[in-house]
Amino acid sequence: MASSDGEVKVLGTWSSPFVMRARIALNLKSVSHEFLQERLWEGKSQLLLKSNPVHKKVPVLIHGHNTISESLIIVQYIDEVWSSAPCILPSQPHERATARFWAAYLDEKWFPSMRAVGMAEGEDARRAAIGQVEEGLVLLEEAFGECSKGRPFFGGDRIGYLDIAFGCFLGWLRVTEKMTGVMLLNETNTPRLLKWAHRFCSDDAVKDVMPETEKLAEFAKMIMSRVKGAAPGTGKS
Amino acid sequence: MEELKLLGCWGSPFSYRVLWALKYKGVEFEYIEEDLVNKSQLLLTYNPIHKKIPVLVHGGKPIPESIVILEYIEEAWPQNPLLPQHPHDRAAARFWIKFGEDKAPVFYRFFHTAGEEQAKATKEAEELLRTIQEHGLGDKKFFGGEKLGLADIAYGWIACWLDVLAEAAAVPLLALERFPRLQEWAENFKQVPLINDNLPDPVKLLSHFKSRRGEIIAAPTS
Repeated sequence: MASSDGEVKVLGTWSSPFVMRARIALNLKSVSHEFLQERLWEGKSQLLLKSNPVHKKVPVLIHGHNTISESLIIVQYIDEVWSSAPCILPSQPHERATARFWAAYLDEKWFPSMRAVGMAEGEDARRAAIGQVEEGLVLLEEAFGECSKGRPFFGGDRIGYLDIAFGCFLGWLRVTEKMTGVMLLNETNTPRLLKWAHRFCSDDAVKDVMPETEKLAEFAKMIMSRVKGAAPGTGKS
Repeated sequence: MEELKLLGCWGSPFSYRVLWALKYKGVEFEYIEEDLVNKSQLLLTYNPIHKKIPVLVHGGKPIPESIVILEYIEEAWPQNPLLPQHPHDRAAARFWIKFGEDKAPVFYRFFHTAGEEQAKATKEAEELLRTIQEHGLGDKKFFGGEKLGLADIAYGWIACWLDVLAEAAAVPLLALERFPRLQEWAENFKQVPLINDNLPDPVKLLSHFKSRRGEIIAAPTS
């Protein structure tokens, strides 16, 4: 089997949910690693540009001589290299396919719909954007029921691949709730996800890497004012 | 043995990926051709969220999304492995498969646009193909190295659809011959016996996509 020898580093930022995925996976496997923070507003580091020349994005996992990019691919790599520690992906092919399906849905549809809430201009657009996020959460609530089968996490008794893929977005979800005044996770529509979110964020593998909502909210305000300020001809403050 | 069905479409590169993987693994399956204009109740039941082909149904359980299906096939039938052994090489294969997926909408834009928009889309598609050629394939015979792998199957659209789409949309800049290493790879890919026995009909494909292009051009712009 592949050697787990070699220094482990994660290149990333504290605010990125995708970076969080890599760190949670390493924590689950109790793999000590160095977190190298990119200061993206100062320009991308030489290390980042060299390690991920195609996308020039975080996270990047550096393991000895190997560099791996793309957060979910990193999580799978971690699961395969440190194979004796708790398993991240389910063991059955069909359950693995289900986890991968929902992870792809989260990245391709759900998270973009949540980002769209922050960028929506005008009350109608905002309400429509929130509606999209809520519809997605109802689907995810159902998926939770099917995957967890009454146990605490999507992965069963412990955090697994889909918990990591979804849970990393909880910080930004809470910021969106704060910004809009809408409780996206709630007792009425998503009772199971509401409880799962609390369990996920309290887990030892997660709590030190999940940013505080206040800090993230401040950061979000700063980004949005930069984006809106930089956009030409918007004429809006 | 559990029942295995593939809901697909004869003209779709996504559908062919799954077909090639199943043939490579030597598994028996029933192929069901779907009419994408009038989607069947079967398709809507098996893929309610995206309502798209391909869908693989194994023992009554549906698996949608072609890339998810490819990983499933690799895991459910470990014979004739399509992914390398070493986790780093597996991560590299997955990286390139994902790259192709993520960039597909950007890539296909040249087919759905005209005029200045098409010129811009063509340039973007050209850059993508160069990145795939130089960083993904490099000097290797296949994306997987010496042997066909999952990434080769995922990029099968380059071997069979690129020239067809480029001709139908009258965009010679995207003809495969302008990417010599990819062209060589495409020849090697099509010569793998199981691929060679299961290639789409290029004449039928060209006719279909010419007609599609005609519809796109004729559609009123908003």
